[in-house]
Amino acid sequence: MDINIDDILAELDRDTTVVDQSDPLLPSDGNTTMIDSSLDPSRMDVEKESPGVVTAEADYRRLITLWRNERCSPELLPYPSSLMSRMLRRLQAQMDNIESIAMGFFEDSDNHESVDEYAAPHPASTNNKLPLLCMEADLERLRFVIRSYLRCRLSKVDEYALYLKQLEQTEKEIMPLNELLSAQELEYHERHFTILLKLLNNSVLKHMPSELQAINDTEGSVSMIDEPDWNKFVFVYVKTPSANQLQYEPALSTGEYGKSCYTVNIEELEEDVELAVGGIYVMRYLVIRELLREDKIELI
Amino acid sequence: MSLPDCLRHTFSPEEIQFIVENELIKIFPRITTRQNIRSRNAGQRPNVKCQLITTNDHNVNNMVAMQSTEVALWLALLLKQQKKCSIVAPQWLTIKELESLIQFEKANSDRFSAMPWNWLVVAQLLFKRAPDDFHDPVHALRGKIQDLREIRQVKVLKGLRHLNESHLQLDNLSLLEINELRPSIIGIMDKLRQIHSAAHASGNSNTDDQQAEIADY
Amino acid sequence: MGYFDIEDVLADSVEVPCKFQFKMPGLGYLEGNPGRAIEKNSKLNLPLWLARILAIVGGGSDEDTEYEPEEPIPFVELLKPDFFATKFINSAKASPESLDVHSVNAYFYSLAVKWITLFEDKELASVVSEMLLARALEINNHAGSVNIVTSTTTTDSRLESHSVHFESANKNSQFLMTLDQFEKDLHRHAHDSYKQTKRWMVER
Repeated sequence: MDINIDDILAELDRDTTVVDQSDPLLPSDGNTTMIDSSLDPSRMDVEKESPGVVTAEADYRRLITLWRNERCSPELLPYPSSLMSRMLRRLQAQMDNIESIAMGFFEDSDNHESVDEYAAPHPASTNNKLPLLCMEADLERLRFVIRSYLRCRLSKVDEYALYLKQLEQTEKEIMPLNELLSAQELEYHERHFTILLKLLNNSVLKHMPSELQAINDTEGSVSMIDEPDWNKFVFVYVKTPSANQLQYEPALSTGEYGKSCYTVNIEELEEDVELAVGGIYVMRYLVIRELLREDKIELI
Repeated sequence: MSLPDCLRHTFSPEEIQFIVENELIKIFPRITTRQNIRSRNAGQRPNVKCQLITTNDHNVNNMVAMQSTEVALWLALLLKQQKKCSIVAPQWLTIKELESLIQFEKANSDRFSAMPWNWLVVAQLLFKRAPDDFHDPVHALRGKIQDLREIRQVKVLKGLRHLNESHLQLDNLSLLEINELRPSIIGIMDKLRQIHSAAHASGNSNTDDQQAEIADY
Repeated sequence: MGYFDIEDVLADSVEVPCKFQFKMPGLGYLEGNPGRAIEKNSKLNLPLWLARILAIVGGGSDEDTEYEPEEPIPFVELLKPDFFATKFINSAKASPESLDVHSVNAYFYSLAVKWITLFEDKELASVVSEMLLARALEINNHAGSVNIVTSTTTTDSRLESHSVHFESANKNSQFLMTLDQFEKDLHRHAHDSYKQTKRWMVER
């Protein structure tokens, strides 16, 4: 299966036209964007953003972190809606930007051959090649991360199709499914689930007695719904909080060697473990899940 | 599959390289990209600015030949390939520094020297793509890096003996080293965990407990 | 683990010895005597998925009742299979690396986890854990011995690397034949990772 970023972009454009039009701060240089904090205040918690100017660089770094977390975590993590829409918008703007520069570049070289305007020793056209090269490489890097991130998420939507369906029905989680998944992912999940169900029905289930047709029986010795392996071991990097945070961080304590650390409890083993700031650990996912949600650690 | 199976639980070395390439490195540009007002007034067509969306583009647009500046590693390697800069090797990537790191590794059998988290990738990339930017001979540096890697690998193998079902601390291991070990460590620890919880779960309540815990969040 | 996990299904169909604690009319076909009864105390190998239920569900008048602690006697008593018997456990303790786990059972660790769960057998758990770790270190050593020549990247060295690789594979094969399914997977994943990293190191 291949995901075409153009499709996603086209989709996104359609979805956000209203927002785009009402957004007076559409980036002119594709470099910085104002976060419209009124857009969706509930998302702020998820993405840990402070309203104001966000640089493209900071957004990219955040995306890299989320991509790495997603790749390492057994469960599907919440979809960062506003970050992703900024990213995709910036990507589109940059593609247009590169195109227009490239066009200008060809015009310039044509001009240069026919009319020797200023006879400048360094015509702008040859100097444009390098910036274009850099910009294209830069663009490709962003496209790669976005692709890989979305692919990773889709693979989890595939794997946990039933589990996500059940989440939707039981409201066991605090996070509703439409915040866990993007609109496109929701649609993908819905359609994937329908196709899967149809396949199972046509190939097997309809030939079975009705009491054996369930696909989501959790009463038997093995639940039919595959859940993420909550206790799977993951590699954890404990982030160093800024000096400011350090002071007001109630979860931090001073450990044995005078280092700041978070204390986590491995319930099954009745064991407390100190996670020192800056340290690397292999830990059960469930044990550090809350620290991950609070952005105090990263998965590596 | 939407994501190849081999990438479901780990990263490829190329992806680790990609992550490392986002970090800044010092370069000496051979060109000047800073545009001063005089040249603009002189009626020259201004150069196209390099507008980047994954990294700060200020430095790359304000390069002055032979004045050091910092750019993302991927950008440095690109400029290097275009012969527009030389790359300043990090301070630890010299024979002298590497030798003292090797000494540390040998003297401390139970811990790793504080190498940067990206040392192996940075060293390999620079050896290959900017070999003429080193003061020390590259083959000698390469040898030292190889020595360091081997000493550390032996220590890692010793450390694996202490794998358990609880947790593991791996300070000062670099990302590539971690990634290389990931399948072994995770595979072994996950199975040890399964065996342990099989012996300690009372009846079938184990899964119920887990569900209850998850619901608490 | 999971409902559709084929390895788990296969592990569940491994047969384990059982002793019937009741006379079971009409079940003689299980031991090749159709139409007859299975006598009390007769021993029979049953697949684990069946044996497990019969060992939990009690006999007596009310057959449909689910497991309760006060339940009288279950239909069968699970007997320790050879691969968890004292003899094997002793050799697992003595020299885990030289055990031929594969010939003992291809799903040894899956079965061990199931058995330990059934009986909360902490002793077996600790023996199996130690055996697993000792063997896993050996597996890791084998997985890590990917000899791609690191010095140069000419065509010659590539040829050479192939031959060296081939040799080490031969040397490995004897030990690798003794791995159970979990160990095989562990070896494959570890080997792929070492190989990928080494390849990257050579090419970059």
